[in-house]
Amino acid sequence: MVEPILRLENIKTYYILRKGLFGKLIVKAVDGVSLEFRPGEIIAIVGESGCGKTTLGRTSLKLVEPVAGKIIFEGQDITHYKGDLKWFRKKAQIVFQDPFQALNPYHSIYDILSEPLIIFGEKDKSVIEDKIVKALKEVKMTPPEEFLTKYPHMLSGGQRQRIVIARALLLDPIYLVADEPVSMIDASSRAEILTLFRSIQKKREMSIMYITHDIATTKYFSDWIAVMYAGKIIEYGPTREVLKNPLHPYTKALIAAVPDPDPENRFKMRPVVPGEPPNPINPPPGCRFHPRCPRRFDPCDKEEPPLKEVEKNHYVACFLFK
Amino acid sequence: MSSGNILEVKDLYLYYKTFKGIVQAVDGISFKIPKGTAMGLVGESGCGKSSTANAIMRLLPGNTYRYEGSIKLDGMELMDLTDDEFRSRIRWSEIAMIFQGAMNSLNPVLKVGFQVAEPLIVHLGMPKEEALERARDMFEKVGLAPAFLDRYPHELSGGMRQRVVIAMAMVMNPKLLILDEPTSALDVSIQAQIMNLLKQLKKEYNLSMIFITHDIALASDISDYLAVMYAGQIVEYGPIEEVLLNPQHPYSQKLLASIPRLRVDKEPEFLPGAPPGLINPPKGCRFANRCPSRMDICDKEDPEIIWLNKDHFVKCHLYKGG
Ligand SMILES: Nc1ncnc2c1ncn2[C@@H]1O[C@H](COP(=O)(O)OP(=O)(O)O)[C@@H](O)[C@H]1O
Ligand SMILES: Nc1ncnc2c1ncn2[C@@H]1O[C@H](COP(=O)(O)OP(=O)(O)O)[C@@H](O)[C@H]1O
Ligand code: SF4
Ligand SMILES: [Mg+2]
Ligand SMILES: [Mg+2]
Repeated sequence: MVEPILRLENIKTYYILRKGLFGKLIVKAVDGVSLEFRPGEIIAIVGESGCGKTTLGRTSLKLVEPVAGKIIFEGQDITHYKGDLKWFRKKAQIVFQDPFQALNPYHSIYDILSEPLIIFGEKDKSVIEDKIVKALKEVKMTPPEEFLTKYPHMLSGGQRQRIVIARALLLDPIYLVADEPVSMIDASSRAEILTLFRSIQKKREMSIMYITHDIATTKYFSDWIAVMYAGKIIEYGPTREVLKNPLHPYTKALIAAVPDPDPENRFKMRPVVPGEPPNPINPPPGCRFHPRCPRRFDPCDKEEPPLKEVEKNHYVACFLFK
Repeated sequence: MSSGNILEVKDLYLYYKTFKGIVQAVDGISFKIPKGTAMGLVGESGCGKSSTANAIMRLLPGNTYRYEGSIKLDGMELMDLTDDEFRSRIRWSEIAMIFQGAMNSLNPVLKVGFQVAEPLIVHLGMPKEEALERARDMFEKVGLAPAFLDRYPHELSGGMRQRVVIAMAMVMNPKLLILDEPTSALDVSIQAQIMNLLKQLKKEYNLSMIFITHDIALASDISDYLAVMYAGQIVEYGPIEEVLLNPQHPYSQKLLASIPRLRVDKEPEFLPGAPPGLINPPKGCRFANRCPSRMDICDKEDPEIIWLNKDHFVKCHLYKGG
């Protein structure tokens, strides 16, 4: 088996909210997640807002510190590493959701793209220019010269997001967190960006944590899916397998909730689970999904179901699967 | 004379004046909505969907430059009404609208029950007690327990606030409900709950709807007809079966092919390029620069609307003389 680039072991990331003078509340945003990112693979993290996706991504980049668990990057335990992280900051990058906020409106595309190179010590102007032109070509912004002097507001949403991607790629990362990278872009441009992203990722053998609430895109843009619910992974497996054959009642409901364009849809009610995801400050005991689960039975409200391999490479945390 | 259509819109224009020039946001659009049916209005952001809704609601910004055309509600020409007549007889009582982002703009200091009752008090002069009683009934219809009447918006989840907004729009018992991206801020499982609620209300009240979204798949969850908008114009309109399964306009075809599908194994294609700006748009077909079937005439003449059958039109030179 290929060595993973990044291994997350039983990560727990909590936020502490002060309440009044002495009280405090603990938000268990990520509560025991393990994942392995191998070169050239994309793991999609899906789940509804608040389930902990962004926190998991930020934890993996050491932007927030976990309260428990380990982050092993290229074989090295960096969980509590306090030294110079420059080498890590270069190899592990992030692409944010909002290309409008991610780009400084007062900087030209050239400035935006040269910044990370300069920060990481590149002084040679011709090297910087070469790299920028190459990066723009890689994200299909051609001819590159045409874009260098432009400002973010002169570009379409899709083009802006490509600049964000180009910037992340400039430092040749081997691991990248893409946090809802196309959710602010029109549905019709999403496929284009994701397909481009996928081909670059394959060529470079990068591994990506693709965070999304848009399940349909995972089919074309990931190798593995991890479904999160209230801070935990409740199902994990090869993307196509999980989409075709979801096992956990929550995954089933999540997939059933997504419409494909189909004129028959309007004649049917969509099967839905009642209620909303729990508050991570005080998640329900036992299986965190049990209050909404149509299949809950005896142990569900008392014990927590472990994540178990029930078919080859297909894991699920649910008592229905022994 | 009233036909079977609740709404007939013909050659509707809404232009805005800006310091850069005139924005042709709604440029001569036509469509009709049979009673008790829903029309999905789909297209990329900025194509004029919200402007179309505002034009029908006669909610015109101060910089409106051109507002004309015919809007018939149940056979009655609305353009003949004065602003006072429109306000007292049509807006909210006959045609109601749920604005984009409305669930996040509820009044934070008023109880939601009162906010639902308010239109009855303001527009109909109904006594407060009676109006609150009606609000209570409406709460039940949208799936909110009476206890929520006394809550403030921040005490409710996104899905509940959207139910409140729906109750507000429905409380005057309108014939036509315009929904502008009503679920775009919600998670998929909550979106599915809201879509089920809308389907149920549509049936129960024989309610007619304009459902605005950039997501065709979502539109297909409720729409009987589909209008595809591009750069200020409706380029195809027809029964949802025809438009989804057999789209005729090259833009509709491309838009549909670009959607990632969960249940069909087909890689999404993409639609390169971007729509033209709405200030000084090209004089020919506005889609010409992205169209795979572009002909000489496409750059020269704005295509006319061509009816393929009594319910389906396409605005494209390919169908001329066909
Ligand atoms: N900086 C923070 N301080 C306190 N709570 C936070 C913070 N960031 C996120 N949370 C909470 O942690 C939970 C998980 O959030 P997040 O990781 O952003 O989820 P997702 O990306 O899946 O929407 C949510 O309940 C959220 O409110
Ligand atoms: N009050 C206004 N003044 C000038 N331009 C406007 C105004 N409102 C909207 N627009 C422009 O009109 C076009 C159509 O906008 P809109 O109707 O909001 O589209 P959509 O709802 O499809 O995203 C866009 O180019 C938008 O920037
Ligand atoms: S463990 Fe029980 S409650 Fe949880 S998903 Fe499975 S059946 Fe439902
Ligand atoms: Mg997030
Ligand atoms: Mg809009």
